[in-house]
Amino acid sequence: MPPNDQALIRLERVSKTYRMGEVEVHALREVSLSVRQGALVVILGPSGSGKTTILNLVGGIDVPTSGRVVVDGVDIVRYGDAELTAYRRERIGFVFQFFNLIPTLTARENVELAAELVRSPRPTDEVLDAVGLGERAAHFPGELSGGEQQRVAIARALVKNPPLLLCDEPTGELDHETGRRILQVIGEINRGEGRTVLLVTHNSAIAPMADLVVRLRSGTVDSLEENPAPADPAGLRW
Amino acid sequence: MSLLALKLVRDLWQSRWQYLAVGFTVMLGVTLYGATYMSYGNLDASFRHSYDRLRFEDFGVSFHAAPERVAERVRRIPGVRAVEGRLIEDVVIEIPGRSTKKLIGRLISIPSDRRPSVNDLLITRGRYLSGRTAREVILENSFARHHKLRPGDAIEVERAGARARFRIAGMAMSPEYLYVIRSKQDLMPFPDSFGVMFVSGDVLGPLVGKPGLISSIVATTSDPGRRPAIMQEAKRLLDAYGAEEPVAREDQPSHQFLEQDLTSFRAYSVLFPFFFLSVAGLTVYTLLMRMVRLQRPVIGMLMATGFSRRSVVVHYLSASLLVGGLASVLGSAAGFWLSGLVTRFYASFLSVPYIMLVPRWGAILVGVMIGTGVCLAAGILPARAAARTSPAEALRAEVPSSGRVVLLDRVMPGLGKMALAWRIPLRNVFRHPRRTISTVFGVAAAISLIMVSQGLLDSSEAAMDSFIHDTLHDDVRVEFATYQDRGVVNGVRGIPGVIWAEGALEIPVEFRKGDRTYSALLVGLEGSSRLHRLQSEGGERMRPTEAGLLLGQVLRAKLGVEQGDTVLVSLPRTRSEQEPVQRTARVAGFVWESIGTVAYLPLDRARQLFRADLPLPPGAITGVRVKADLRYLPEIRERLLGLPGAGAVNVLADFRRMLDDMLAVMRNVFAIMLLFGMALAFSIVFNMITINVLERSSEVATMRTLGIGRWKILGMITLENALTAAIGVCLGLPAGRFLVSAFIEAISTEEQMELFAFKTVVYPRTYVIAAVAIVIVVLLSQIPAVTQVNRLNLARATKERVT
Repeated sequence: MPPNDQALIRLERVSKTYRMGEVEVHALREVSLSVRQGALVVILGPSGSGKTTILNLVGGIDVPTSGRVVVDGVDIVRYGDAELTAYRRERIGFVFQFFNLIPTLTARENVELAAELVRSPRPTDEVLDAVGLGERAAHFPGELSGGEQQRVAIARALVKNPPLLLCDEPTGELDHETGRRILQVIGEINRGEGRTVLLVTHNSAIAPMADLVVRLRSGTVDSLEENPAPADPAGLRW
Repeated sequence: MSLLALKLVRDLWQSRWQYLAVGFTVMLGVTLYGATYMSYGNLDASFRHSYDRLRFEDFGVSFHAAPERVAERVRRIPGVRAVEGRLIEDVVIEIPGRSTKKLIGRLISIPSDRRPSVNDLLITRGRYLSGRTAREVILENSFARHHKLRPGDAIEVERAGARARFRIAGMAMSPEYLYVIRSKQDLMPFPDSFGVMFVSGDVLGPLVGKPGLISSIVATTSDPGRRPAIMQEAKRLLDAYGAEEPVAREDQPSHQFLEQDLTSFRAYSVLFPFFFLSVAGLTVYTLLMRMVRLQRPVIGMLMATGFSRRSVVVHYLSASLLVGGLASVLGSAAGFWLSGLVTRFYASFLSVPYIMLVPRWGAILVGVMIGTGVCLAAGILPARAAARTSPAEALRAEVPSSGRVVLLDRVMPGLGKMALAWRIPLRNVFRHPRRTISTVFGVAAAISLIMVSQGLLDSSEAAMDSFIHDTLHDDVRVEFATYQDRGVVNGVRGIPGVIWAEGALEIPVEFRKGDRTYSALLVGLEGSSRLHRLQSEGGERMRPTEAGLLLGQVLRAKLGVEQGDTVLVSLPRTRSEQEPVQRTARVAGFVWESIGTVAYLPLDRARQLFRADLPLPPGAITGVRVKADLRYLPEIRERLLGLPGAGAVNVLADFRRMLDDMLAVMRNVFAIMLLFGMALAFSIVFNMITINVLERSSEVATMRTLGIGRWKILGMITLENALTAAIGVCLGLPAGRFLVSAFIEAISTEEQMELFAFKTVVYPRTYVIAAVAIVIVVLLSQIPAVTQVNRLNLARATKERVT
């Protein structure tokens, strides 16, 4: 999809190159992309295709080598450190593949840690209930299953009430059933609460739940596919 | 409590052993700093306080003999606060019932009806003198203790063939004999041959044939600025009585020695803590840096969630600050407590009358600031570095570099064919340069810490052994109270059990070169002396030479002379109204002796030098040195004591014991440093190894998942740690040796050299002990971490990066 002035997110000719050890990796090559407000976008592609890089750039935790990343009409590439921090704090909810929970804090505390960052967070228990973890809130990450840990990570992202939810392989570490439940939670957040969701995965079976499917290959957009009737995640199989 | 603070507390708890070890390292450094620095402060204050309480002299003047009333004339000099006139006589004394206890006693008169207004005594046992004519003495404390004398015991004074018996009224400390030496030239207290006692002037005068006379005044002044003028005025008043140059407090022998000792102590109190804190600081830095690096993904997550860089840095700094602050406070408290022990120990050794133990808040504050600052500095760089990386990068796994593997494989072509159990550890050493370097540094630092203290102990022991065994070859020696003829040596050679005997002449003199003067002992030795072997600094044998003086290293430094120079040699007890008796002598060479500030001449040359000025008989000697069959030693001692004019008989074994006592403070300081060094070394190694193992949690978990047994993994970890430790040991041993030399260089001030000079000697056993101890600690340190890694949930550890 070409850049669109009405879009919430616009990537304009974005390239990203970084060094990994002694290798120079061209993660993205002049990628352009638009995402409208309230959309659920699934970014598909094999390993090394640049999926996570797009998420990191939109999330303000990485900067492109060239190009513009416009969110809500503002090029966040021009942000300074303080503005980027505020941007991440107020607007972004991250869900990582490896959960990245703090092992020395309980599930509730992991969520509250993020809640402390914003002025009007959602009530922690409400968010934990929403992801089905009300009963397990007092447990430490080490005492939770992978699916439960991922739900804590989603609750942590949601508690700040961010308009944009970025999920990096949220089901990558989970079994099919748990993964499907996580996708249901994400679907509800998108449809029920109207939040924009960018979901990165290599699992093409997830694509049907998206409003927009972006396929990447070797750092370029291979295809863009709009889906006028997204499927219910409960019906997904893989 | 904020959640970040809660996280901090729980993180600290989870890694409590590592943080404890880091804190312990800092605490040791701060404790050592506090203990030594505060001890120095305490001792300094104790001496000053004791001097004030006992009204220690500001100056003194000795003269031949003068009526008691001259003291009153000195008192009238403006600026003089108090004056005490005393008669001082050195006599031979005997302790009844102990036939071998014959020695030189210095009798000093004190008022019997009041306490001295200058140089008062602190009575430690018994009482003060009871009456003007009572035959009572007060013994100087250390002398009484050495001979186990108590109030009520008797002591006999021999004077011109007559004997007088005194009863001991009490024991006391005197500010002018806190360190009991006969003169400036005698650098060591020898309670077996010299003691000080105080007696009523009304008894002493008649006893020594000088009734109503005094031979010294000591005075205090009210205006320090006028003191030089007052001293000169006092000298002018006393010139008619053969006054010597006035001696200011700073030049008073006991005070001067104690000041020198304190100066040396101050050098230790700065150098050791500086070294220890530096090592502790560098180690804590590497440890915290690695610990923070392990937290990179958490830092990435926190920043991705919206925490600012500042709050992330502050969060990680808080851990350093908390550990550093707490450890510093505890270290300062421990340092204060330890300073009390050190002060008491030192004070008891030197008989300091009043001990002042005051918390030195300045030193405590500095200790807390240093300890905390070290941790802050150690924490700030890695925390800032971690927070500076982009969150995305922090979240990404670190990529091992591969180039070094290629390099190693090139150097070791057979590496690829080796068993994995060897290949992996060998490659790991090169693949993780940061880990390898920090471990090598830690092990090298630990070895150095042990070696510095043990090397100093070795060096002091070697210096002592060299003096006792290489320089002195006599077993027993007799010192005469008056000059004797060398014919006595033949008599001594005839005593059964005597293998060899030699005469020696010792004259206290003052050497001068330009504007530099120094008091020392001129020793005349037989040219072919078998019992006193002189050595050059390089260890070559030297002999007294007709070519001139052989000067010890202290004299060389003090006078700043070189071979071939000419120095003035004068008798120090020169009467001021006369031309000073002085001779010139050429410096023929230099000798190295650990103890003593001595110059050597052949016996005859020494006699010739002052024959015209001293009542020296043609073959004058002041002592005989004897090599003996030790089975006959008691009999030989008896016979030597019976020689005419025999003042004291010293056995080398007792001399060694006295040397040990004299060096006890220094050696104890080294021993304490060794304990600290070992504790610090072990905590450093423990930390390094623990982190080494913990850093590899997921690697170990992966290997176990693949089915590699625990013992095999332990073997690989051990091999890698042992390899790095071996590199550390190889670097640490020479570094330790170098540091011993540097330390000896740094503490070998002129003050230190006057007391005890030593060269760098590190015994082979020290290398072995240090290396073996560290290797054992390396191996033992693996246990807790390996146990922890073995308990890992394999599924989680292989998947999760944040554990």
